[in-house]
Amino acid sequence: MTSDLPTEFDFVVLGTGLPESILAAAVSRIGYKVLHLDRNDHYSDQWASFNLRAIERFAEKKEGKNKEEKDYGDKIEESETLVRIPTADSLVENIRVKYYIPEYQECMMLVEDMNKLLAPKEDDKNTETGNNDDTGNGIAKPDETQQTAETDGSQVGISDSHESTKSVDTPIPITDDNTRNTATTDNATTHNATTTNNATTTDNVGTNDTSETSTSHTQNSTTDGSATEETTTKSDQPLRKKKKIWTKGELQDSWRAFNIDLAPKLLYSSGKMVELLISSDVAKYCEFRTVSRVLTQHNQYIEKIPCSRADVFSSKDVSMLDKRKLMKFLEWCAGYHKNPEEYEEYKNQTFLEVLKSRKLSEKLQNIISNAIAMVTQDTSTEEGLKKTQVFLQSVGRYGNTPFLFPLYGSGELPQAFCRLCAVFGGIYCLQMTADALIINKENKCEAIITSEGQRISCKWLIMGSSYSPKQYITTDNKRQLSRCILFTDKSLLHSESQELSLLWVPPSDHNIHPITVLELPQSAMVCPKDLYIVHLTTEGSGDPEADFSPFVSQYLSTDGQTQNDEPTEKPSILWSGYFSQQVYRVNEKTCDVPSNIFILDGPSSDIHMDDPVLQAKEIFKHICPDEDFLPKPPHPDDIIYVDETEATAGEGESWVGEKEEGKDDPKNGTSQKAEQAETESEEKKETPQKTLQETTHDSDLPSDQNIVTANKQ
Amino acid sequence: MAAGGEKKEHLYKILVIGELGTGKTSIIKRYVHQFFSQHYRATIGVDFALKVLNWDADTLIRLQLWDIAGQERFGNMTRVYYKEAVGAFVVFDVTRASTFEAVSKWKNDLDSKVQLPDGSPVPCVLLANKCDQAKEGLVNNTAQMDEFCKEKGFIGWYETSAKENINIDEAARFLVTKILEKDKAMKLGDNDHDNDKIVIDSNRPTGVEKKSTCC
Ligand SMILES: Cc1cc2nc3c(=O)[nH]c(=O)nc-3n(C[C@@H](O)[C@H](O)[C@H](O)COP(=O)(O)OP(=O)(O)OC[C@H]3O[C@@H](n4cnc5c(N)ncnc54)[C@H](O)[C@@H]3O)c2cc1C
Ligand SMILES: Nc1nc2c(ncn2[C@@H]2O[C@H](COP(=O)(O)OP(=O)(O)OP(=O)(O)O)[C@@H](O)[C@H]2O)c(=O)[nH]1
Ligand SMILES: [Mg+2]
Repeated sequence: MTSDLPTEFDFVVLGTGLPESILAAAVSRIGYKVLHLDRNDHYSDQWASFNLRAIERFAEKKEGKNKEEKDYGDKIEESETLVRIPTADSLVENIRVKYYIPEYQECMMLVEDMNKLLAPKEDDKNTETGNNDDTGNGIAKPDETQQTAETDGSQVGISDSHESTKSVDTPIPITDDNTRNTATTDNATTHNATTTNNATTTDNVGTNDTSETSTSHTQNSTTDGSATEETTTKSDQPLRKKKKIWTKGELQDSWRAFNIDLAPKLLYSSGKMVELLISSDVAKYCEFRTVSRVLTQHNQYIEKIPCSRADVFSSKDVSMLDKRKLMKFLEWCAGYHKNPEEYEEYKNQTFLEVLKSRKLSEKLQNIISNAIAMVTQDTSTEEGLKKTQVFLQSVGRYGNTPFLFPLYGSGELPQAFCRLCAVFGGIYCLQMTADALIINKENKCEAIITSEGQRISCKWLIMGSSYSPKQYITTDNKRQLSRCILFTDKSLLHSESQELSLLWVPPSDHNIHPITVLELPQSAMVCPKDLYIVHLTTEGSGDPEADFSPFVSQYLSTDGQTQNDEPTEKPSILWSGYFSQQVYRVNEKTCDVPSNIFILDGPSSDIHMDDPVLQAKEIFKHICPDEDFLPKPPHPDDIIYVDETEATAGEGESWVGEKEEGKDDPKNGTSQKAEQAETESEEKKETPQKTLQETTHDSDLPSDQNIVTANKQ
Repeated sequence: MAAGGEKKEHLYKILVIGELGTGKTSIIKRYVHQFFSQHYRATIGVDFALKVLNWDADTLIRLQLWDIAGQERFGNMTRVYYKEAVGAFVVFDVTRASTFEAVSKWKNDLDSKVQLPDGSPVPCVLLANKCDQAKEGLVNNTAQMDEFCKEKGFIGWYETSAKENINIDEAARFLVTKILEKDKAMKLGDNDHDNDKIVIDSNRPTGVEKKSTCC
């Protein structure tokens, strides 16, 4: 299939990460020929989202076997040199995956029923304490669950993955051990009988529909009957619903419902990414949800902060005086872009110093520095002001907080740009990369040799930093990205509705670098219901467990789920995945990177996506200073095909002669097609502006005059 | 999607997939723009072609026909392409048996990447295109083709010609009928009811009740 590839492109792009994809789309959009490769079998590279099976399989994957270097002597000329692309770097390092819940619970249905039927809180409590006193037959007794999980080998790490492979991608048959562990319960009042049955007939785990029979057993059926229903109905019912008790099996059965981001990101509603999505019309490929709460940590508690003016004024937590002060300060910040001179005097102070001088209450300072500006001790006033400003400008545009989250995960965004690139003729091949770059005498990249051994020439080469030959970049082992992904059974801060929350934890004794916490509910289309995904991100030193352990132990329980459903109860972790990502920097000092090679950054610890946009745009402007960066493409509805010549040709006789050419030999057809695309590109390059004006929605022309594609040959 | 009067409007996304040069673009052009040409340049800059059908007195259907763009000729579709599709055509070229052999691959890829909200596969029709020419392989045996479709989960198959305009309307009508049936059963494409979902749009910065900015 790959021999079909044309041998010349304007741009070869390695890696389908976010900035690479934006840049690929931008150059394709103005008519350049783009070949976009990714060594992985999925789009988005380090920015990808995975379902549960994929991420666990990922954890098993052994580090790339070092492929032996092929000899490409016949592919290069004497004056050229070969620079090798490193072989398969993995997207993440040392991923470790772990379950905190039992494999399968035969009494699962029972537990659910208990949830449904067992009732008032006192009862719940009884069950709970009962468990503890009661010789450990409890369903979700913490340490026991823990044990189950561990002895099942559900902990998966790259280094020692082999023993555990089996437990990961096939649903695990129920073992006797499990049955014993969990089958007998003391939840007394209800249906012991049912339980025992379930325990022995292992097949119908999770499929039994027991609700009807059991309802009759409970005393509380009336009140709880209604609460029960909610487990299966609308998630945003105001009525308090009972917590779902999960098993490993159930999580794995819902593997497809997960979209787990390697690099979870948000968009400022008025930020660079949103502007780009609008101006390029890539927005049509994506949907979003607003972050519903911005949280902050205050005196060891997690609180919601008021984001909008209305929120501030209706907040009972903030005194009237403080409200005025806050408003005044924010107005001051908001005025920054209008007359930056006025802020000159603060230039040598940090943002926090300026903030302190304003005599705001400690609580307000906390809100401003940690939730709005998200600044550390070292942040300059200018940067702090800018960050405050984009926050303020973004609030109210799409929601009550400044942020948007892409439905189905951040990994959707690079793909949206790839689609645009493809729609404008970009060619995509996954599971293909460059084995080597060919550098000519003038230290310019002349061509690549693909992993299939084909030489393809290019005028420019763009690559994600993980593709870069080592001499072009440096890594700093002290600045890796530490990531932690958790599935939890409830939110960090109780709420009646499904919330999508952002929390920024400033540096402290426990964490040198700030930690960004993103808590995603089912409505973000990233996980099944009755579950949250919590993403933790920080700059770390390669030991993510250590980096996050203070936070995790303070706010979350690693003891497995309990029946206890008090709002004060910590969320229980059901599953965790820890990994790190290398951060590369272009090595300008020590090495002469060829001037037609551009290396783009991988994901950083920033919560937003504005930097990749800026980086892509900067390179674009460097390469094509006079071109528009991703102008709006014509809207399909506005395009009318006119085909005077063709319409007749189609009916005419010339057909017979023509058809022979393309039909029998697909390859022939392809190359022909490639040429055609090329001519088209050429044409397009000359008049990109015009096409755009004629066709955008914004044009004043009545739509029937928006004639765009005239197929004259 | 403002429904005028009593008229019901539906918007359906339909994918057109299959090997290189099987006639996908030709079929779409024929169906939507009523013309045929053997000189296609890759259609550049367009996601889909729109066909509006006055289905019956009170139903208007807008079909978005999503062609395969440059990227997808190597079979790696972005999710964006598959997203929210409710029907598909898999096209092969009756003059080249190799394109028929790839049909299963396309169907599998489709089913693994998109499903209807109830988890069932999206209705998919197989098109044996270029039937104005000499046929090669299985397509000559109707019974076996029927069997093949049943086995692979196609709801039906048609011999089509974009050149001679054979069976294209029929195939589309058949697919739309099936989609409408599914739609009745499960309200396809009704996720617009989710008011919290945000579609970014320069003209429409909506969302919440209060348009309150700080300061
Ligand atoms: C990555 C992804 C993007 C999606 N984008 C949209 C969207 O933009 N709009 C929308 O309405 N629905 C989208 N869906 C979901 C939609 O296809 C389903 O119709 C819907 O979610 C039904 O959910 P379910 O829980 O009943 O189905 P389940 O059986 O739980 O399956 C969930 C859905 O995931 C999808 N899926 C599973 N595995 C993969 C995979 N490897 N790659 C891609 N998709 C997979 C399937 O389409 C399936 O329908 C997406 C799903 C995924 C996984
Ligand atoms: N005889 C005949 N030729 C056809 C028919 N349909 C398409 N063709 C020819 O087949 C060739 C390929 O058609 P396209 O419509 O470009 O095929 P495609 O599937 O879009 O191809 P790619 O976009 O490259 O994957 C063109 O030369 C068409 O003229 C048909 O029904 N009969
Ligand atoms: Mg085509």
